[in-house]
Amino acid sequence: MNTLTNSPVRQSDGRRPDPTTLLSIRDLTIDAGTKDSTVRLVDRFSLDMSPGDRVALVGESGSGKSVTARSIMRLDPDFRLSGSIDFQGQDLLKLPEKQMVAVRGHKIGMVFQDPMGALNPLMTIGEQVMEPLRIAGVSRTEAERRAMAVLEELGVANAATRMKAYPHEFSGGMRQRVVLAMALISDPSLIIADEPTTALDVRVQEQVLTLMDKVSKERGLAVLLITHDLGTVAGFTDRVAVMYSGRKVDEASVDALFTHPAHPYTQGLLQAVPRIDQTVPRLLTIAGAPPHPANRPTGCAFNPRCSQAFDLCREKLPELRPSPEGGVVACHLYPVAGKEQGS
Amino acid sequence: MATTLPKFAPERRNWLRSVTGISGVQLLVPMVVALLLLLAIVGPLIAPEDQVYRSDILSALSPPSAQHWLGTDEQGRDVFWRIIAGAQSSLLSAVAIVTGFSLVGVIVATLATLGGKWADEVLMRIVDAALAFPPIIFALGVAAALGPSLNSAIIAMILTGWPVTARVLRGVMKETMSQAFVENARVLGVSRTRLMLRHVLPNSLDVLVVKWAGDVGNTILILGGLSFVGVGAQPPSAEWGAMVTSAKGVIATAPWAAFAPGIAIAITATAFGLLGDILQVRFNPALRKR
Repeated sequence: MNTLTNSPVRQSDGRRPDPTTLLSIRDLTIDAGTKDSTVRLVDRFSLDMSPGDRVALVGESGSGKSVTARSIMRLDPDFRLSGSIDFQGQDLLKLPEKQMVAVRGHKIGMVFQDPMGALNPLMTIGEQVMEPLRIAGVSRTEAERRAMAVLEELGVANAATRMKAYPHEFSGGMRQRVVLAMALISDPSLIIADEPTTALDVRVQEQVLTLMDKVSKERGLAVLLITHDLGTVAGFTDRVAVMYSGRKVDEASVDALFTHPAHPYTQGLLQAVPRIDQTVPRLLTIAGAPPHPANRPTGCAFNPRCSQAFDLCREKLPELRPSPEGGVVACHLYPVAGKEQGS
Repeated sequence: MATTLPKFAPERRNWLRSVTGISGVQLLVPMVVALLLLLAIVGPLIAPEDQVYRSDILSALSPPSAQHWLGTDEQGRDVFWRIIAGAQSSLLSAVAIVTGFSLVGVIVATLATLGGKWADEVLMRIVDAALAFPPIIFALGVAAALGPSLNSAIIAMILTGWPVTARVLRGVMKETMSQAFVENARVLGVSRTRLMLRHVLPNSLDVLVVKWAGDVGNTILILGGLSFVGVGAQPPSAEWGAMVTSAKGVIATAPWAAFAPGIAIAITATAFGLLGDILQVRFNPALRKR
């Protein structure tokens, strides 16, 4: 089909890999628990990211978004992972732990939710920012120089003095900058940000997001932003994937998602976001709660909460299919190409 | 006319504070500890030997007086000088024992946390087994093998003391492992060993320091118990615990003989306990006064 790419590598599903793909997650399935009682946390999750792409992974607590992000780094050895996570041509799921250590922090950086706890209280800021470089064998003077540069890039004034300070002397926003500096110092090509602004107040959230926006644009850095806050998504990312109960149910460009959300769940999420340009008497909420991963309803996992559900939704799990807005959606409301929608 | 600003007393610069970072009553603690350690070193040299060891039945059990500041014991030996002379065997052996078993405990706890499920399981079962040994009985066994002496008591107490430290510290390390900064370091590609030594262990040691200091006082008491059953320091040694246990029988008629070394133990235990608290503050940059 595509004669321009003559890459000899073929992926398991027969598609030719896009040479510009940075991260390609295929059918990632995550199981937890013992052999007798397995809970499927994530079910056949796929996502592609090109260098410099900024993608948001959105969902409620327990939707599997954080587990997915953590599994890219293989942080939970107790979970059973299947599928593939191709990063720069390597399947991270097949990599021995020793080589995985070299990927963590060096090729993929990660920023967590809680900047208060993310720093070692007994080590100076400088030591902690330098640590990834020191592990990689960079000399102390060189590491110091680079740490200073990255802290200044992130707007930490007096970096030379501040590097000698301890975490408790920093405010929440400043700590998040330090955590970001730790993730950026090895010059990774992808940053996974797991709710990086949730623990910060709104004004500081704005600062950190603006900073991440600037840095990722300047560095051509790809960002996978995990969040439950659609407001964060709108200003920062290009594309959004929505997860519900362990599955990707909707994926679209930010514009399409906000103007014509395809999945009823996405529509519900958007109605629950307060908007400055619209006056509504009362914010709508989605009734009910997401199902426990061990006890999902048959058919579409969202059907008990969905106002547009019909018989098929209660019987058959909808597969992902192209949506009218150019993304993909897993919903029976959208007929499979070439087939009539039965009602 | 210029308004005069109210005058404040200039802040007193305390050189001790600038060196140690502590001030006020807290300064008493390192001073007492230093005095005790000094006694432990020079005590046996300055105490007159005939006052410490020579029996003088005629003046036995005499109450505190100008001649015998803290009275005499049932053998007529001077209690004050015996306490001075006994500081060495009491204090140094207690410090050696507690430091010894704390080190073993740290190593075992680190290996258990570092080694994964299997190593953890095996090491903790060994700890369980070691905890099941009653220290006194174990010390009797060691004494039977090595001959009764202060040294066999020290060996026996190191061998029975480490499991508690290992267990406590392993619990603390498990908890530290779940802290966000440990996860963050992992995400930055820090290897397990480095993670342990740079992040987990230093952030778990505050508990150990407190326990170490508290154990010193406790150990002096157990050492005394061991001397009592004839396993530890041998008579006429002036070890404090031994003094308390040997004066127990005359506590009604000559309370000073038991109380004086008892108070010495209490002061030592308290001083080391408080030292632990101060060290904990010194180790934690967030609690440290600037």
